[in-house]
Amino acid sequence: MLPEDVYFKTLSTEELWKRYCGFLDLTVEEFLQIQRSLLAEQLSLVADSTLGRKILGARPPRTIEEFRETVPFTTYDDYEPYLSEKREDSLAVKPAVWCHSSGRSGKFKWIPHSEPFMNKTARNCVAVFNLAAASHRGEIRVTPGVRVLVAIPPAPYTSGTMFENLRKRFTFQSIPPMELVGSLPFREQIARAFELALRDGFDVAGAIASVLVRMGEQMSGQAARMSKLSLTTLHPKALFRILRGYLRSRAQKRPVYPRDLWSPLAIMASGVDANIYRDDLIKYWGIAPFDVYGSAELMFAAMQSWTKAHMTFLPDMVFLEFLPHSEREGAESKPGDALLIDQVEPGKLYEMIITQFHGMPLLRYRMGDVIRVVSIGDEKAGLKLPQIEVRRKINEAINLASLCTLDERTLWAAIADSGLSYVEWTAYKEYHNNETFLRLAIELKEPLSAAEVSRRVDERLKKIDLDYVDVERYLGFNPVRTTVLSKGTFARYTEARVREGAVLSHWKAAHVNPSADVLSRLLGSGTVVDEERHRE
Amino acid sequence: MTNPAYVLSPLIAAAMTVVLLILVLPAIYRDRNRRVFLLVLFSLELWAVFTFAMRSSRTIEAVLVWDRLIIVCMLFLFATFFHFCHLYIGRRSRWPMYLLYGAIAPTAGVALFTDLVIQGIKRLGDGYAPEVGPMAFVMVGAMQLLIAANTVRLIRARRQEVSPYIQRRYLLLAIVVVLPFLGMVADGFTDLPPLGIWANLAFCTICSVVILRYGLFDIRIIARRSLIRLLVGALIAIPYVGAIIVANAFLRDRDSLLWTYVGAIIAYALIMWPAYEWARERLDRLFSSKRYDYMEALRDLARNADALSDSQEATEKLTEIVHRALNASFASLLQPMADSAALHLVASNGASCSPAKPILGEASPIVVWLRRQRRTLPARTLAVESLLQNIPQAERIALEELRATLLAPLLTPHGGLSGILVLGPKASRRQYTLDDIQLLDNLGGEAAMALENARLYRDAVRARETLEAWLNNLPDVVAIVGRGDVIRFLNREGIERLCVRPGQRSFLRPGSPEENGVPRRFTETIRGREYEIASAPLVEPGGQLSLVFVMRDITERRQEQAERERLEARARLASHLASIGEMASGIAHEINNPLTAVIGYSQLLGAAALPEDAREAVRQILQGSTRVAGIVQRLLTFARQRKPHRAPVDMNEVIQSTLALRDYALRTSNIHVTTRLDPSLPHTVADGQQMQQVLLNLIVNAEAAMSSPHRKGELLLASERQGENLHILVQDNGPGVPREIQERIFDPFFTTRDIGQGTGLGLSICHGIVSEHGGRIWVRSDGAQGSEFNVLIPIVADDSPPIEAAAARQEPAGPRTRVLVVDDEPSIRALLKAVLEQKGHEVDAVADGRSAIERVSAHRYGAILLDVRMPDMSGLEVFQRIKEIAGSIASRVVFLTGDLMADETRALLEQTGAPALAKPFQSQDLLQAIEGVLKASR
Repeated sequence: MLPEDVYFKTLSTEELWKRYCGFLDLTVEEFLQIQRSLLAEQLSLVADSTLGRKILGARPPRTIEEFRETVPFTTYDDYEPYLSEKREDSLAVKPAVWCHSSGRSGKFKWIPHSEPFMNKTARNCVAVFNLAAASHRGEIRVTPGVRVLVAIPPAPYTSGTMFENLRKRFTFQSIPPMELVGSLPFREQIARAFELALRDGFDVAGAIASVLVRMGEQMSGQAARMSKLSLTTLHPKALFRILRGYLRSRAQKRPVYPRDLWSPLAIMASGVDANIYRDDLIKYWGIAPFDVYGSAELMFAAMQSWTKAHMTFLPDMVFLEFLPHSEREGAESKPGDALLIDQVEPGKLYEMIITQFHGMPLLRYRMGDVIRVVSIGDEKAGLKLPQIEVRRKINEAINLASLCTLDERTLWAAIADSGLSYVEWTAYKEYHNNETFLRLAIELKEPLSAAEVSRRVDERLKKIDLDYVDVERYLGFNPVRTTVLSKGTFARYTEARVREGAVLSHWKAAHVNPSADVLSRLLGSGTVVDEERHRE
Repeated sequence: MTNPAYVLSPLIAAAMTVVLLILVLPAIYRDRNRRVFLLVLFSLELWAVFTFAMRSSRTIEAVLVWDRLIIVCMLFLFATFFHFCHLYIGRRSRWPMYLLYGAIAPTAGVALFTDLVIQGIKRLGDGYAPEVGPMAFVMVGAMQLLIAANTVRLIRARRQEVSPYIQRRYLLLAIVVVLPFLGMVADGFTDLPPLGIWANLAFCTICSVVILRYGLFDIRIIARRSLIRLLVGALIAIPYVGAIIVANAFLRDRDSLLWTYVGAIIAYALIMWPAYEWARERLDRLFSSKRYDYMEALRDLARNADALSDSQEATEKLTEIVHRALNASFASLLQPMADSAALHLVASNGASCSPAKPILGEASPIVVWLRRQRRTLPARTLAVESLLQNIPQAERIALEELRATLLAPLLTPHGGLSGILVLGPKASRRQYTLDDIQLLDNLGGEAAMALENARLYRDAVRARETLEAWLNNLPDVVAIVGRGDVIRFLNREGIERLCVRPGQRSFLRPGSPEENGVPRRFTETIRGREYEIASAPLVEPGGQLSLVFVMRDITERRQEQAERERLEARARLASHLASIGEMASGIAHEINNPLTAVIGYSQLLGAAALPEDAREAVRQILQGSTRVAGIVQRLLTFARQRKPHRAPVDMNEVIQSTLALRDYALRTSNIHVTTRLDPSLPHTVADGQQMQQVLLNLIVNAEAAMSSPHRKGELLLASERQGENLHILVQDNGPGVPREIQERIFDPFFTTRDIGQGTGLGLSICHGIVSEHGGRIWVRSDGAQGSEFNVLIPIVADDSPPIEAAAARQEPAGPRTRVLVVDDEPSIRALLKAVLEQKGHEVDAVADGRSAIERVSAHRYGAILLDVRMPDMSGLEVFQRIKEIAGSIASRVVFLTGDLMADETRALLEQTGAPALAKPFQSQDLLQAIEGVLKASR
């Protein structure tokens, strides 16, 4: 495979658009045609491998229909003995890289990826850059040499692996340099990135949305206070930038925001919080964030178009199946229940089932992600493929009296829209006197009673989630119960986790259903004000 | 200024630039380079237009204004050209551009609105010239630096480039930028005639060359062709303008200037027309050489298409044509194999061809794309087209290993994919142009047809060969006979068997090929072989009617059938003879016992004192009964099947006895028998019964041959010694044996008699018996009258000791003894008792074996006469028991046999070593046997 740089030298803009963003123009039939032929190749490749035999059986399916009817769904447990030890002899094809997940579920999932897959991942990275930067169809704004501001963990974390891979195939200037990404603690990495960006500027930023918001807050704070002047910030270019930013902010009579200092082409923000922080990101960075659906298993499976509305699946990364998601716990699923992309219906939730291509081992693998099909196609953008949004992990939801299911996205949106000024929050299900409650533990920036918080959140939830309305009507009371945490609770928790040497993904408490240990740490961190009781 | 060359020459440059603008303008959205180059051309165009305006101006003030505008255009020309080169060599930094344009803008203002660059205008002989100000030197110096920097960068880029083709492009770009600068310097700082516009013309010309010849931009062929015409016109115009200038210099003050111009133009037109044509053609060839190649390639393919009957030749020729026409590093052809729909490498020109593994699968996304799009697929599209992102990795690698750059489908008009042409990069490292791809598409269509025709031809040939192979491997003859009875097809079997060839006249009788719609079947003997033939009509595609014959050689089958029938008949005969033998044996046994009594008593009576007439009657009884005994004996001899039993045989006696067997039949057939037997004929060791069978067959045959035509005949039987052989002749005066069957009469089942009259085995058996005895048998006949059957038997001497008992048959007069007679037949017991008592012996007679054993246990007998066949206990069993009681007594046993014994009984009897008397026997034989036993016991 040629480096992506070569394509920029040899292809016209139109061709470049087709190469990187052409998947947006596919019809469902074309999408399936690509999927089917790649799956056929995959079945022929893996049939004789150890893991292939284990999953497919002694008599591997010969057709795609047979595959979908007979091969059972798998989870990481099915592969763990082989993949956790990186046993390449169990695979059909020697992988190009091994990366692991964030470990949010409690353990790292090691996933192998093939050379063709990594080539496509590099292509998709460039596609992400360009779609994130584009304002209309056919626009190619990001070319080799682009300056990318990154706040990501190093390889073998997925995002680090992805950027390492991209660096081999596409010329870009990493801010901070990739060498530092691995060597510096995450916070210092962000600080360093800020300093360098202040001097040299950047074109594209890629990170988790909340981190970007925080980065924006940090940067604007630093720029405003000038508290941490270093040699870098004393650089003429940095001083010029700060001066320009200051003048811009003064002209609008507001504090300095990152957008006054830089004019980024694109901001990539993946994660549930991207939508939540959308407004903040626009406020700080001047542009809407660009969302992608990715993971260690997928790298990229879907991304938004230039409209930055909903996401469109990529046809050639993994074989996609959609298992209708039931809110009912313990619902059994048969192999034949999974649907193809031409069978999904708008408004419905589906659990993602994927099969890797190019001889990699994951077959009918339950991702544990729940997506919602928003619409079939996007008329405004002229897209024909289903448009989706990622709702949550399958076990990260709170079911209230079997009437509604509240996930992180819904809760976060409700909290954010309620006008609360908060630092961080977490929520879980609580039983009291045979009644079900939603317990919200929140650290506020402003003094507010727990009851008021509950009232506001309840109000917003009623507007966001129609099922939630039924809950209150059925129960006859507000199911939200709030615990206000003392100031600095979450910061102390993070500090403690950092001191303990926890991995990056464990620095933060989970928003939904945190573990008992996390809860006890948070609740025991300082003064806690419950809605029902006040205690020291 | 009245010099038209001076005034009009900028327009030539303007026209040239317009043409270039037209060339570059299409597809401007494709890349930024093209857009920036467009700015260069705009600047150049304005320069030319302003120059024309300046030269057309009548006042110095107007000239000054235009000249300053020219300077501005010139500044932008250099800036934009630098910008273009900056982008073209792949630089992305923007600050040099900002710097450059930032400097150009104020400089342009200075040049336009102040006298710092151009202070004024001066008139020269050839036109106007600017009076430059101090700033002009700075500006020229800056431009020099800019041009130098640009040239260095282009030269560097040229060094880094590996393709000579692109290197030349860089070189020309480095040269071209210097030209306007030199023109500008010449116009501004020297008193030379105005050269700036000529420099611009040269700039345009070289740019055109870079665009057209070295593919700076992809130009469509029509636009290119138009440009070539204009370029030729411009080139022709240059000497024209030069000539006008020269003429103007010489004829400046003459009144005839106008007429001179007219005359010069006419003369020029006359002189230059051939030159124009020549130049146009040369340039056309230079810039469109590929077009000529393409046309040649198309012609080549069309010319060869009909001749490309060999599929392999067709594929090789095709790749060669494409390789040559497109100047590709290689051209390969992928086609499905006979046993696989996947596309394999079948031919390659410029690269090795190893068709070991398939390159593209039958349902490969590339194949699907090519079928659907029906156009050439540049390999780089594989990285672009979304629908091609599912190409299997193996195929992608295979194409990368092939270094595929273009993939052209060979599609038939019906949409079938004959194959895929794969082209490598151009040998010159240039990019394939749209023309190349268009040619490839055209060639693809033509080639698909040629390949399809070749494939159809190959299939037809293969089908014909297969059919011929099938027909030639058939064991039957297949012939197709057309109009005029001429053989149109004959398979190999037919050619070899029938010794005829297609084209010769048919060997078969004409006749209706079918009867009642069913193919006709008949048999015919051709060249000594018998054929079963089926014929049927064959309507050919042209509507002509032929006949197809399928001929099966059934000669062997018929012979086998006859053989099978003969064997069946023989089996039936054998079974019949066996039945006769069984019956004869039973009859003989039943007859022999009473016959023994008759003979014995007749002899007793004959020995008694009787009247003469009674004695004569007894003699007749004895004679008749003795004759009956002989008949019975011969009947048994003939009927009983047994192994050859060789013993000394008197052939004369055999002849006599055989004649005696047929005596009655011969007499009743009016056949007179003559014998001419050699009385001194020696005995020979042979099977007497088999010899008798031979003679009997010969006599019966002679009898049959003579009796049917004239109911009488003469039969001669003769014997003589011929050296170490006995010769026996059986001669008749029948119709004789035809010569043509004389060789076959000894064959089994060969008979000339009607069905049911004979088996055809007689002479065959004779031949077998004689041969078994080491002799031979033959026939001699002239085929018209009589026949002689000759039998030659070698004389074999008898080595066994002579039998004393047989030497003399005289009534013995030995000692008296006690004799035990054991026989279940009462008449025999009585006869034996009477005969032996008459001779003085004391006789005890018992009817069964048990009684015999009891007697033997109780008494001592000098001789025991023991019948072999008795109920309850056979004679042999009794013998064994007696032997157990007293071995010496066993040696005095004489066996009595009623008929010819079975072989195993005979063998057991011989093992006992006891003598045997066959019933019916003579009294003398009995007494001699008793005498022999008694002598032996003494």
